[in-house]
Amino acid sequence: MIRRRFAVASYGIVFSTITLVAVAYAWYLGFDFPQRTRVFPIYAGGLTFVLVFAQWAVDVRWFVAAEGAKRYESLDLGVESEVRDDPRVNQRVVISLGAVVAMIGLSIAVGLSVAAPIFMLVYMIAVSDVRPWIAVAITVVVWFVMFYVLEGMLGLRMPPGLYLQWHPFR
Amino acid sequence: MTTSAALLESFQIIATPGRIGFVALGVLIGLIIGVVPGTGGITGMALTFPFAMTMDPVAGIGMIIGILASSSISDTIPAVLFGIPGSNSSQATILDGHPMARRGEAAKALGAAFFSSLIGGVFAAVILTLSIGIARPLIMNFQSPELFMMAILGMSMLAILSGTRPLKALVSAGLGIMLSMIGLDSFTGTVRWTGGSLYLYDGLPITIVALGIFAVPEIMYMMVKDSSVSDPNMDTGGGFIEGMREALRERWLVIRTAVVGTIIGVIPGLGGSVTDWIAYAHARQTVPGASETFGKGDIRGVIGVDSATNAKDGGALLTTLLFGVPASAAMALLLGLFLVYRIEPGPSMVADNLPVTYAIVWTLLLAQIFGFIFACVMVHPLAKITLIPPNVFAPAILVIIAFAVFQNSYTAGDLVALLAVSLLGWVMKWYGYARPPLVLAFVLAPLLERWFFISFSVHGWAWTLRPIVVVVGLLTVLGVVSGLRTTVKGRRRALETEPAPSESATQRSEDR
Repeated sequence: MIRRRFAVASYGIVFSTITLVAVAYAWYLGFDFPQRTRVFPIYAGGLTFVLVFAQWAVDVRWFVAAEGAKRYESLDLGVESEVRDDPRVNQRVVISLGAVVAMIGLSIAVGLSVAAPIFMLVYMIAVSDVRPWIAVAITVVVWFVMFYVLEGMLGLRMPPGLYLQWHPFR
Repeated sequence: MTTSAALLESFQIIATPGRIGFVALGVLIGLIIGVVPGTGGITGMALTFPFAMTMDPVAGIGMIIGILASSSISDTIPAVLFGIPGSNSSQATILDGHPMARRGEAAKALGAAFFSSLIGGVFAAVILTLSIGIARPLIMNFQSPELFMMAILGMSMLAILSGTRPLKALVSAGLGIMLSMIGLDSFTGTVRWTGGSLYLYDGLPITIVALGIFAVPEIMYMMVKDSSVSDPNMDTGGGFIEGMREALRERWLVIRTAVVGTIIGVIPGLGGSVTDWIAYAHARQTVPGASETFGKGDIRGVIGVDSATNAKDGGALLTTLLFGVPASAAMALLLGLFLVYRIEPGPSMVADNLPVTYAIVWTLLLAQIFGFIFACVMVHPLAKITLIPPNVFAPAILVIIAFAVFQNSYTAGDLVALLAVSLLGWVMKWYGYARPPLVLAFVLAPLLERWFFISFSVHGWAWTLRPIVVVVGLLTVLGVVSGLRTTVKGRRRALETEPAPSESATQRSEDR
């Protein structure tokens, strides 16, 4: 548990460090903008840099403090403790992150008309406990909504793929 | 023509089955569109615009206003049930509406939201009727310095929204300001922080930021938590009437936030993205015990927000009709429709076309009532959705969100931007960074920058001495001091009552 607590605290430092570097770089770039354009980036960027640095210092203090791991429980985290301390939480986080990345990546590659059914069927059958016929039924309903309601009735445009622009009704 | 005669004539104009039918049709379209995350009323208005142009003017305007009014009601449904804003103006509803749904009180939250929406909408319509003759002098005094100060007032709401973690909230707001500056500076034509990406030349769309910061992280959290939004043993469908009773009990809050919404609606440029936050901050400041209960499923948080978001349409219609100044993008479309019908907004709407003006007000009132009735009929089946395990509906919602964000620029960049912002939102949620300040700062920062430079170019530093600027400035200072006092009190109370460490952590996490 202690190791896990340290791990979580260290991920927090990773985020604040990345934010600090990104904000510092953006602020530095702001000085190259022309006179009028750079006023807000320099002042707002400078202020943000100071705030992010303060947050980074707080995170580091938490991490290096001797009782840091013990005080992990009182860290300001945005999720319920029963979720955070669940032993399978890392696995679930990876699955949910992977699902979002995969769905968007697949949509960009082959278009949403193909990506949607593949993603929905694979996710529902592999991750949730629903029966296959329910997964198929939900997929068909979503497809209907996409093609007949959103595209057909409302005239919205279906995202095409970079490598495949397949559309079942064209 | 007297006002009463004009009101009667306007009623006769609207009271035909065909015209009322088109208002009802618009309301139905708006309700459906409002439920789709990230689309909002303007999408529906834009899509039906070509059809409305060919129709009888009263029917066409009725249909468009029906869409506008009802989408403000139904965008609450995904906000409460899934923690996803149906549109930009329902973001603050999530803070208390979604925790209520997780407690099995989805129907109660929706009942309160719909009823307060109705009261707010009707209130705004009445205000619109009464103020048609008297609002002009005030509105004409609002120039860029006053607009700048109104944006500053909006930004000061950060002090109230920061909760017990002011540093993380300020970091969040700073990131929001920086994200808002990505893209082309329209004044100088200089590109800022795009990294060479053509997609980012127009900046990050608010739809993508709202969905990526709020919606996708909530869906991912549901996937991680792997349990339904509500406890299956709880009666999700009950409490709808009780919710309406709660709204009635909190009638003064409803009226106050309706006034807030109407005023924000009147001011051009502020629009729906900030109405909900300002109303929420006002409710949090004025309601007794709000610092302990708001953000954890307090029904008063839902009531305050929904009354204001519906009332803003009445206010926005005032400036559009009387001055030809569209107070929002949706109003700009409506203004375009007026011009197509050769109805010229401006003082002539009061002098020559008073019955037409009042007919438009009647239409808004009718749309609010229809929207409330239809939403009430739909609420019970929709509330049952919260009992479905998230891993069943989460993929479907992700697909619909991907579809919705693609409508921004019709490029793969929309999807890539959604992914990037979603990852940021997820990390912020996981590590306790307040997300509302990011979105509020993102919306207001460009307005601040634009109005500051226009004010400075036109007036020099003399703009700081304008009477309305001074008054709004004092209000801002009062708001910040009051917000900081609330924050300090909240922290002190939390420290005094801090129990065992684990309990404390749970309590803080619930504060999200």
